[in-house]
Amino acid sequence: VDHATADASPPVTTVLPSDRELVARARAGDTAAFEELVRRHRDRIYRVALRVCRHPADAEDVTQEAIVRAWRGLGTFRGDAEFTTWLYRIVTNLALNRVTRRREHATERVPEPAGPGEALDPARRAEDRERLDAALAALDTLTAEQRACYVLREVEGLTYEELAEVLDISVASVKGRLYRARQDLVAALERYDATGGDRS
Amino acid sequence: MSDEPREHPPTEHPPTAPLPVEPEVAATAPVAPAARGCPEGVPPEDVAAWAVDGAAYGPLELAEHVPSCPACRGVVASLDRAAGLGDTLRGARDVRLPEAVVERALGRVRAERAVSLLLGTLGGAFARVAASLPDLVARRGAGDREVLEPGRSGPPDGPGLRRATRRDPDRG
Repeated sequence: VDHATADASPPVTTVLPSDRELVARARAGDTAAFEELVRRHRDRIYRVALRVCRHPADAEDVTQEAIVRAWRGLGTFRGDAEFTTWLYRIVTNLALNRVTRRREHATERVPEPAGPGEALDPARRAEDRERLDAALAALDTLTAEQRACYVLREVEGLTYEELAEVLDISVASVKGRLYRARQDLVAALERYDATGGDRS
Repeated sequence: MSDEPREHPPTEHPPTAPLPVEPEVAATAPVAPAARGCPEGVPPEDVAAWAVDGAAYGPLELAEHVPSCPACRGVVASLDRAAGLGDTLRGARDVRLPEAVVERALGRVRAERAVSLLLGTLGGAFARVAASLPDLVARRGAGDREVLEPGRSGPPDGPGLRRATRRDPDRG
C-alpha cells in the first residue's frame, strides 16, 4: 500500500446548492431551503429597498414583506429568470409602492447606516462620508423610478435586459431612464457643490 | 403577444400594469440638447448607454462615430461626473439587513407553512368525511348494511377494499 498516496486525501470541498436547487426544494415546501435563499440574498434586497425608499425603517418593512411575498409567490416562479432578478422585482415594486404612499409626507434626510467597510482613518472617513452624503443627496433628487433603475444598474450591476424585466419596461426605456437619471445626478452634484452641501 | 401568464411577483403592481410612466419619458419629451446636433441622429440615451455601460448601438459603430461628433462627445462629457457617483455608491454597498428583520420575516414564513400544513391535514380529513356522506346516506335510506369481504378488514375507504351489500333479512 502506498501510504503516501493513501494519506493524501483530497481536500474536502463543500458544494453549496445553487439557487435553482434551493428554489426547487422551497417550492416543495422546504422552509430550510427558502431560509438559505433568504440568507444568501437578504443584503442585496435590503440595499435596493434602502436606496429606493431612502428611509431605513421603510426599507426594513419592505424587505420583510418582500421575503414573505417571495415565499407566497414561489409557486408562480417558473425559473425563466434568475431567482435574484425575480427577487429584485418584488422588492422594487414594493419599495415603489411604499414611496408612492409616502409622497404626501415631507421627505426627510436619513443618515446612511455605517457599514463595516468604513475607513478607520478619521480624515479618510470624513472624506468618504462627505462623498457619500453628496451622492445620497443627489440620489434624493431623482424620482423613485429613476432611483430604482439607477441603483439596480450602478450598484447591483443588472444588465439592461434584466432591468427591463425587473421594471417591466422596454430596454429603450431603460436607457432613457438611466440617461435622465445620470443627467439629473450630475446637475444635483453641481448644485450640492455650489451650496456647500446645503440642500435647502 | 403570448397569452401565457407572465411570471411576476405578488406585489401591488400587476404584471400587465407597467410602473408609472415618468412625465419625461413621454414620447413628446424634448430631445436632450446635447444630441440635437448629431448629424446621424443618434439618441443621447444610446450614446450614454454605450459610453457608460458599453451597450452596443445597432445602426452605427459608436466607437468610430462619437470621437468625430461634437454633439455625441458633449453627451459623453456631460456624464463624466456620474461615473464617480456610481463608484461612491458601490463603495457603500456593505449595508446589512438587521438580523431581527430576517427573523421576523422567516417567522412569518414558518407560521404560514405550519398553518398551510394544518389546513391541508384538516382539509384532507374533512374531504374524506364529506366524500363518504352520500354513500352513508344512501345505505341508510336503503336499509342496507355493509359487509366486508371475508378475511378483510380496515377502513371503508382503504386501498383495494371491495364492498358487497346484502339485504337485511329483518327488514324484508
